[in-house]
Amino acid sequence: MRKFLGFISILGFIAAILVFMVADATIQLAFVTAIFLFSLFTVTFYGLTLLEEKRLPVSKEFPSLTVIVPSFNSEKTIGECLQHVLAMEYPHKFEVVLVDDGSTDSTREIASRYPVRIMHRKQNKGKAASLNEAIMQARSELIACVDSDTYPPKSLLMRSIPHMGDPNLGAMTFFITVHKPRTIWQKMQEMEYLFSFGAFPYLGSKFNSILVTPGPLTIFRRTALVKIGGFAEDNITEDFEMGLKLHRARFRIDYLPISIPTEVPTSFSALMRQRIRWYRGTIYNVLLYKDFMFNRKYADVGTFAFPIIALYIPVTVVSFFFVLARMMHFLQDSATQAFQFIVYQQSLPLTLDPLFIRPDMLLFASFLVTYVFFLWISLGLISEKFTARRITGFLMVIFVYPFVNAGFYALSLYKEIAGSDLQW
Amino acid sequence: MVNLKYAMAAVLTVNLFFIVLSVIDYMDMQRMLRFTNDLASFSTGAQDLESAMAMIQLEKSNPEYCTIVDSAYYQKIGQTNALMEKMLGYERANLFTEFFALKRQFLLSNIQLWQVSQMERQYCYANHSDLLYIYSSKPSCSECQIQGRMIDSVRESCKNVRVFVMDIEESMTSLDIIKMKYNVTSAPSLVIDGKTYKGVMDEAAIKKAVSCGS
Repeated sequence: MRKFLGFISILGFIAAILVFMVADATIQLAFVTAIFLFSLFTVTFYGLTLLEEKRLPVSKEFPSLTVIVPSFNSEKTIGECLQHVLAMEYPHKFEVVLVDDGSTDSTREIASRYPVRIMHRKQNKGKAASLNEAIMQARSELIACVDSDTYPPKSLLMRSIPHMGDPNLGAMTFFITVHKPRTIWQKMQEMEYLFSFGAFPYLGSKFNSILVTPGPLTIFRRTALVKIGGFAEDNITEDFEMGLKLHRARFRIDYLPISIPTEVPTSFSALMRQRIRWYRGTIYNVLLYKDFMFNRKYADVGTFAFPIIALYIPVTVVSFFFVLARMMHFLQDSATQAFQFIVYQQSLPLTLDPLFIRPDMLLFASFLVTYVFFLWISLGLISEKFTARRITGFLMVIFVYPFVNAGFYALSLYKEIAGSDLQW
Repeated sequence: MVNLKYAMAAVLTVNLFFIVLSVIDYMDMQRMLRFTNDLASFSTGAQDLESAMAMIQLEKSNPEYCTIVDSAYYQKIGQTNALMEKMLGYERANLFTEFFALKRQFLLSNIQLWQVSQMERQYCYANHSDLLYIYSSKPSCSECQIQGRMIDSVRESCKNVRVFVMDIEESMTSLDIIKMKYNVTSAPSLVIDGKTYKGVMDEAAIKKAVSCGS
């Protein structure tokens, strides 16, 4: 049955490309208009929240805290991670728990050099299970979950904990950034993270619509975690599920623009593996929590944030096929032109008439303006500047990322339908 | 309060959308306007020459008249190509307004000029060649663009060539008759001094066919 569904979905994908290949100008125009309106509404809605003022409550209390670092075969990063975690300033002593999820490398030896409590598990059971075990044993009021490849800044706790006094606040999320990007794929992710962990959650927090509690670092209220039963152990994106679960239990999720550097995949294949896990998790959880869809009970999450995420998946996949079909046309044209250049030594002239500009370029320009605007907001949040080293990432994110990302979405959708094994 | 936010976003979206549409529409109109202006003078020129030719026919080839027609022609020829290029580019870029009527007008004037040019050869002493370039407006005809560039460079180096264009996809009485008469079935094709050449012709071959010295 699953195989049959997978086959049907491949047929559907091919049909979508063919439809766009033969689509006439009117159909194309209608499609582009629909996508444009969808994006425009999302962007305007987020843009409007810029006008809203929001102040986080400040309390003088510094409640007890446990930092949980789940780790599995992370000998390369665990040392630096623990150094950063232990260097964090806080009025009281806080406990650091390292959950070694059955590592087969030297993670445990490295960790034992630091003053941390190590919980050793013989079998590898996954991140969610590790976290849950540590959460069960913790007795503190707050719990910070830190990935073993994330390096929190010194001032993090002093800047964030005073804003966590509200008992309704389930989790505090932060601005996840890329730690020292080297490869072009990391540079691309650096610019993407600025956008998706910067301006979007910042604006989303103004109407309590953060749906994800980022895995790299989130501080939770322990009572909230206990009430909702901890992380889902059978879920591949437990951080997205956690966000939805907190919303369902009526906890608030807040956001502070404090930069948290984390390691990101270096190569394309590693990135693809990560993204397929994320996006399959997104599709899985959207279906799991479909009662959020247009549900006024959950305020803006139900009426805006969740439907946008849910619609974003099909919109991205269909756009991918649209762009693919356009690209195939373009490649066909380029190939014939190249052929003719070789055969007849003639190339097409460049015209400087401004009226030759086509309307689709105008749409592209409007997307570019939007991106630059949100990028500017994101950089402003962590008071950084657009420097020359970001140019590669910027170009990648404009010209490569949309296509690659949409491809990952299409692949994830296919895998989710065909039902191949879920992997972390 | 929640609803107000959504309404505001919706209103703003619609407004922004209409601004984008208006910009596209404005550019469409600008293209039409520019092309209409250029086309008007071109068509007038074609009609002017046609009536001048009618007079020459009546007067049984007065050489002085022929000189006037000849010099008028050289002013027109450059325009054909520039207009053609503009038309193709604008047609591709236009989203809402179509070029149908203007394009037919342009093609018709081209045919008028071509006929006048042929008559001139019959009634006056003339040393020019008439090149009718049959292209296809389908985007799949990329050879047509290449052929167009070649003809352009031939026209620049050979002063005795007069270039006219015709779209094979367009159906008009006079165009249909020409297609039938010269047995034109595919694009690109060239009709040089009454002889049909099918397929892409390279620069040297065209120069040879129009007997261009340089």
